Amino acid sequence: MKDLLRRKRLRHSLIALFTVLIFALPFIISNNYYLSVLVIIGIHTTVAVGLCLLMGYAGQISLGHAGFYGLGAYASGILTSTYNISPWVAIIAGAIGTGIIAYVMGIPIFRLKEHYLALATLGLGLIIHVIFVEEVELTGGPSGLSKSIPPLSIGNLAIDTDSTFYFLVWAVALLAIIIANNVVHSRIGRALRSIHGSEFAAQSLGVDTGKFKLQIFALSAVYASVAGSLYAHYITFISPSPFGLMTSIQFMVMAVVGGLASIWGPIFGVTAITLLTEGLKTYVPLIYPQAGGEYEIVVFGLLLVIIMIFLPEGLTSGLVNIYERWRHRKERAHENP
Amino acid sequence: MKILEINNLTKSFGGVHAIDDVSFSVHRGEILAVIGPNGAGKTTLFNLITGIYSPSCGTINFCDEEIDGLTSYQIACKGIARTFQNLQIFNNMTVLENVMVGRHTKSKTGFLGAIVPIGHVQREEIDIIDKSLDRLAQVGLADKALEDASSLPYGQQKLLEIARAAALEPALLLLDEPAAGLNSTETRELVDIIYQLRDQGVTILLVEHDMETVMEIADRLVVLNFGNKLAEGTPYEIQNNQEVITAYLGEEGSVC
Amino acid sequence: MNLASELLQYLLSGLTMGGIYALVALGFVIIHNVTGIINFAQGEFMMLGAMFMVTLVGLGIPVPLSLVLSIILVMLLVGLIEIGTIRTAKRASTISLIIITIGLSTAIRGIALLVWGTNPYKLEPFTKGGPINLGGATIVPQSLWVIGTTVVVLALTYFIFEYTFWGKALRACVVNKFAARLMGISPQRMSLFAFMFSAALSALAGIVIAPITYATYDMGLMLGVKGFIAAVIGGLSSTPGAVIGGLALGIIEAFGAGLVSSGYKDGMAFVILLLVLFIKPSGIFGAFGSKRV
Repeated sequence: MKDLLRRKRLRHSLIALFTVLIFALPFIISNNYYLSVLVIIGIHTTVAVGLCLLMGYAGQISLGHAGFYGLGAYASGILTSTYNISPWVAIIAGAIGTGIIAYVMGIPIFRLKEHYLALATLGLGLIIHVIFVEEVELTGGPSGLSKSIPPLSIGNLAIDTDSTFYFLVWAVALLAIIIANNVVHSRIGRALRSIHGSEFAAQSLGVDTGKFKLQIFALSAVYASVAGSLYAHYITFISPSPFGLMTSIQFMVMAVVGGLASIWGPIFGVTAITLLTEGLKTYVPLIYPQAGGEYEIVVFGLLLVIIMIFLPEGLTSGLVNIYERWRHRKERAHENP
Repeated sequence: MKILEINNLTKSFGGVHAIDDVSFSVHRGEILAVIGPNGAGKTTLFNLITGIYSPSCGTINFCDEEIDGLTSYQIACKGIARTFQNLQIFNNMTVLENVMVGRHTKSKTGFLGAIVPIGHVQREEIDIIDKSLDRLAQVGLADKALEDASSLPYGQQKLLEIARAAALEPALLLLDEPAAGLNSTETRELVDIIYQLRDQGVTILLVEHDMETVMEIADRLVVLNFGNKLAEGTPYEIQNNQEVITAYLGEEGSVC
Repeated sequence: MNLASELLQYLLSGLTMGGIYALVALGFVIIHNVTGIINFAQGEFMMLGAMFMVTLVGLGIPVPLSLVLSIILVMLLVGLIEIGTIRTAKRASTISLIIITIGLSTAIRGIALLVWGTNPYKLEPFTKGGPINLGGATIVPQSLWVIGTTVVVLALTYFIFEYTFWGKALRACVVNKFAARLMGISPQRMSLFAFMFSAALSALAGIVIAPITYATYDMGLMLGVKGFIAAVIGGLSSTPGAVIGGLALGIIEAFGAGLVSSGYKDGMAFVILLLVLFIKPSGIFGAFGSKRV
């Protein structure tokens, strides 16, 4: 029991430490480009945390998460620019709506297993994307929303600079992490993880696996939706292209690289991938001027393959394991010279 | 008092009758063993009782309530727990967490409570941990509580599964080949645990191949062969049943 | 154009695309049956076939030789990939394998982007000539090539499965992998063979459709997904099912695009997918396996 309390206190202190660091950063970094990268990292982290809950802890898969991200973005975009609804209300409405859609669509989808499940989520994400493109009256079609999206504001303070956005986005991301952490270490979290461990055994212990899968799917969709809303207000313009299959895969890469069953995994994964992407965008054109488009997708693809083969627990746990094994080998070498 | 009644139970897969018109009852507080050669339908029987399969014909009554047709988790909520022939422990969790899942039906914190763990949620969590540690102590695994379940040796993993199922506080516990793969010391530990559980008021239904153990601990036996019930009775009666001897015991050597 | 000709038009274009879907679906089913893996990179094999063809023809190599060479190149490449990744990751969970094939699909697409760029490439149709009139509907000669190739390939595949050792060994693995091993059939080699054979089917499909739809680095994505949808419709464990699923999908798409809306054409395939998954996930011909506990 004491060990458990110690572990819990360690977790909480890590989160507190991280919070302090994150909020201190903008006072150290004033370069707007770096801040904007950090804002995007924060937004993607929220999505990745939700995805990790679904994929890492509950052991399910979603190849269409960009769809929920897009639903949040378009909900905020359309409600604020066309219908003049308050941005905060729009975010909440988008989140609730996306959650309901995920729950309802999840009912038939989660009766499926493995490949069928993956494919159904893929299909769902693609259908949502097609709707963004085809419903021109509502969404503006392929060219995007015609009106620009008004900024968020708290009272008189408009959140329209990189640094103000930074605080908002990271406050949301931290909240997402804290909620996820609480869920994982609760009765609910254990039930979710038991589904991943053995669905038969979980059911034999009274876990309503069907209901739990739906709930966690809906929760991860809500996370993505809120992130999408923030994205819309940050970029102030949205079109269907960031909400397609490649983005879904990108989210999955971030979650996988960081480590699926880990609270800190998403942050590492998102940071690693975002830095990698930015680095590629800067340096590849210097070597390969004729390459067009998103060549980072090669790297994503290769990363997915390599990590899944050699480090399926992701960077965080995987690297920790490698370190542990190296340390044991050193210890044994000292014992038997 | 009959805690479990199997009435004319039949389960067919395609044209094969895995279970064919089987009827028997389990009395409250007893240890009933189901034996029979491989393929006789024993695990199918367990899967039928716990809702993994639904019967093609016949009914299953638990505490006078029909449970065939209910889903697995609903049946667990009614008070039936089980272990699995091929271990189904949660390899992605610690030993203690495995047993804590067993307390799922005895606790009620939901998503909201999980997100904001105020007073009574924390108290429930402590209660779950306490009760789970008790169960682990019962099977001798209390000192391994914080280790990964996957790191335990096979024999201890089997005991873990029993502790986890027992944490549900079932009225009826189904053990599917609990002694398989255990050496004689571990088997003796297992027998002690089973007796302990029985003394705590749990009715035990087990499937087992280890004849010595079965004859020692079972109050009564049911013999299955090719999906049919061959015989039912006390160990003495079964050992002296000519049909059983011919079909099963005789071919594996008799048990004296 | 009267209604009958219109419907005939839809039918013909449906059969054309349907043939392609059938070939890709067949590739999925073969790999799935032998290895249990869903190969999300199947569409990229098709793209590679088309792109290699474009490059070889561009180098001046005669069309028939380019065709054979392209298919062989794709087969070799896929063989290497199978050995390097799938065989190495044998013990991975299903979800991990799914993610690996997604990663492969992404990586292959990215490399194609680097090598060939985003431009669509034109491939000359196999025979010259204008559209042919068939009962009021028009069909380009290449469509006939597509349909014809599909028929020939299916017949060939049937022949291989029924009468050759490798084909029968493949089927043996599907039915009972363990017994097949006892008979001296190596599951590793069968996995390799399954991948290479499926790659050949998809590469051919890509080559044959490229004159109609143009060859681009990302043509594999949509076509691959739709091929998979076709396989699911037919039942992932059934080879005739894959073919029927492909043809059905092509025809439904064509009629839907013509009669309802062409913008939602892609969406239609996914809606069909969801419908099949919800109503009968095992597909028209498939049977669901259950996990033993």
